[in-house]
Amino acid sequence: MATFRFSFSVTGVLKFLSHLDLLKLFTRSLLRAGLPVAYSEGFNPHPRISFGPPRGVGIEGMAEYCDLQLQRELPPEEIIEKLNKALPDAVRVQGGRMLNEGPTPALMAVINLTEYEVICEENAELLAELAANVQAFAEADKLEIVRVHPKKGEKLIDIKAGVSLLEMQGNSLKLEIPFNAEGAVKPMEVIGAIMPPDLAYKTVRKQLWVVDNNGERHLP
Amino acid sequence: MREPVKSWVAEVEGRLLPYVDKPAQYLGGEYNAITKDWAKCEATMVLLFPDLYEIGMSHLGMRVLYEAVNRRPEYAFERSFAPAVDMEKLMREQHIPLFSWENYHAVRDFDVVGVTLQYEMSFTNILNMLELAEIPLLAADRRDWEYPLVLAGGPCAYNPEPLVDFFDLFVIGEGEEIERELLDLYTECRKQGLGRDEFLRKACKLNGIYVPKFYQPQYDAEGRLTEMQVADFAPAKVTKRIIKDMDSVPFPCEQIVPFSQIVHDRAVIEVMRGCNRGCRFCQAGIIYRPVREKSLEVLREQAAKALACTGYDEVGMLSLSTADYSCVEPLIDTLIADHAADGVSVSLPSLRVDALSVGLAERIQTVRKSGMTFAPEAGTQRLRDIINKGVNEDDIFAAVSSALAGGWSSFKLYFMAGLPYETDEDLLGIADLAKRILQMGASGQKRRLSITVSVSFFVPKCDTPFQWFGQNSREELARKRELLYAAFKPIRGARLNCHDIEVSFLEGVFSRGDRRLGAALLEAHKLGCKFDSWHEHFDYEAWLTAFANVGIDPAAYAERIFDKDELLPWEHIDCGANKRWLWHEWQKAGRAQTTADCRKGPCSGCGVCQALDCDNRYVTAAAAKEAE
Repeated sequence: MATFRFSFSVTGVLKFLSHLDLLKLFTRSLLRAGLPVAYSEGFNPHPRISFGPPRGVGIEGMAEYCDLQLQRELPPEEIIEKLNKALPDAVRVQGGRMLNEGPTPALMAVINLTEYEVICEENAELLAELAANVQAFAEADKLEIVRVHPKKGEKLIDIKAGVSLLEMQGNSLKLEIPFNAEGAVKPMEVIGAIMPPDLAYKTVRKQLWVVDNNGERHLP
Repeated sequence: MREPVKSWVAEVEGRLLPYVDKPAQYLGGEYNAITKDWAKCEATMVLLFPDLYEIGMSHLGMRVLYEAVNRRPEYAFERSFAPAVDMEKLMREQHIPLFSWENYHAVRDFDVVGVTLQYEMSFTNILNMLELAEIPLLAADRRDWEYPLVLAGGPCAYNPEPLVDFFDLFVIGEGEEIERELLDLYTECRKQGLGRDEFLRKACKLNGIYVPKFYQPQYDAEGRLTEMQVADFAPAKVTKRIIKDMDSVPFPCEQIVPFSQIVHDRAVIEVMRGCNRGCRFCQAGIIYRPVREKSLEVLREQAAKALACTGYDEVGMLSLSTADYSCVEPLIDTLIADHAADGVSVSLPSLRVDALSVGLAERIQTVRKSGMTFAPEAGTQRLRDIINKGVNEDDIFAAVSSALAGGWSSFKLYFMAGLPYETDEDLLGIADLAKRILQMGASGQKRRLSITVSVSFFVPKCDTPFQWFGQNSREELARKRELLYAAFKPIRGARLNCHDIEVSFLEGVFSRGDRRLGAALLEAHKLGCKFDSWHEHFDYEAWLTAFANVGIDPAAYAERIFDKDELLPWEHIDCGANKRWLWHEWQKAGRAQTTADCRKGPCSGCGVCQALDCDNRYVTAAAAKEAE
């Protein structure tokens, strides 16, 4: 058994896929690619594949991460080529490496910071309004919003506490959200709270980070 | 060359998808989807499935047509589905017309719009989709070529009469060949500059094409149909089309793999068409005759190709009754031998009620033991004989005991209520059967048995021996439902579910209805009826208002008993089975006499093989052996 860790992008309309849809897309592409995928044991075997923290539906991903277990080690270039051939164009594997033997902590366990960029349309008036909202956000002690869950009901969330960076540069917003076992604020909750209603924008998840105890950032 | 047509991609992606639930269901460009350049096409057709994507994409017929038409480079064949309610609302607000999934082209920009008629309760969705497409609902309002040709096909086209106001023509029977012939004729007529009417006059001469405006019903003073006046250039009867050689017909191995989960999310092979068990309630059992099996070798190849082309880890063996396929055991063994090592499983859509079928299920369910489903349909042997189910108590108990031995402990049983000649005893027989099955589980089983009994209310369908029978009244069905609930109350371990009486009633109105019902359908649409088969959307009161507004008594349709010599509203549509035989079967039902499956017994004379010049085609065991 060998684990291949790779990064990939999800762009265009495929940003509308849910996390589960993306998982299925990968498992089917793996079968079409003819790669020697390792299967879980038990009554209902499924390919051993795991992703980093789920991305919200409608957000593009520039550097998403995935761990794939194979029955045997293969040259990374070969895996990438076969995978890209079987995947739709809007999903591209960018690079990857075989992980060392032995247990590796899962992506979900190591990734603890997510970095987003929100690119807005050029509209001076609305951008000024946004800048004011960003400023107000920086100065506030807390900013509570209501999260509505279809089954669990309503819950009050302090989005200010859940954001480590919110910065505006020109028509672009940089947003960083720490991610840990207790979950995280959703980027759309933050964006929804500060974005002027008529300003068009698109949201991109730029990178997933592993921040160590010294505060240094590493790629997963 | 055709003029460029606007694509609505920017509007759909920018103004709709970010704001709707499950946007992935609206994404075209799925793996194996075919997107053609319209500039290079002679004609374009879009098939509307009047339900959600997850339902429509689970339907094999649509995939078969997609392959058959797209195989021709000069034709583009695209798909469109009913948008969910949130999407529809947004489309109306944003003035974005119904579009195809492939190119996000407006449906009204296609040359031909086809609609698949799978069940009566999707009829309002058809009107809603045409309205969203900004196409006039009434065929009479679509003159010349300003609007697309709008046609329909599918099982409900065997009684197209309630829908004739809305369609230019209907395709009767299997579509692979006729759809292409029709597009050829369309292309030719357009090249010659012929008008819509001239095209329709030519189209009605193609075998299997029904152009309703050339057929005018006459009614007597009491409103009974007396005559169907047929234009002199149109055929008196439209006979269904079939594919005789299933092995050579194009089959879509490169199956579209949806991005989002659909109801039947697996690769499929079509094992055979038709079923000759002859259950008297079953329309599919008559209209898809004769039986045409595919050879083992072809199925093996198609399964391998479908799996390799899709990356699915499951292949379904589809047909009306796969356990009846002559070489079903060798087929299962071959598929398992070919693919089990790759983690692929094989599935059967339905099981016959007998021990043999359970054996098949055991063969394929090597690991999972989910619930086992049987459909005895009626609670007593007398009634099972009346409906010619071909199943006796021994079969049922043998099936259950072998399933128990195989480790299954949960069962789902399907029955019908409101069948012809049914008595309360037959209904109590359902509870009795459940009780006896539970007792079998009690003896020596480790796990407690659980049974779910699902009862639907019988809807008589055209082209069946029960087509003359008037549906039980709603009051009578409600009484029967209460009787069943009371009978099941004391039974521990059995759960009873009954279908909606109101929905079954409306199905009954339309299944044997006539042309006059079109007004009620249009009115129901205007009152907002849609997704009638979805419990959360079904609005019975609106339907009743619609009937009242147009002065139609729906019960008179659903409960209508036809006389032997009466002209039936669908008689000009010929499925191959002759009326004399159907009546004979109806009489035998009254005497609780059974008719043998023509696979095993003598020919009972339904007339299909002669009418269509195609015998039942079985794969012999010898041929199977040779193939191995």
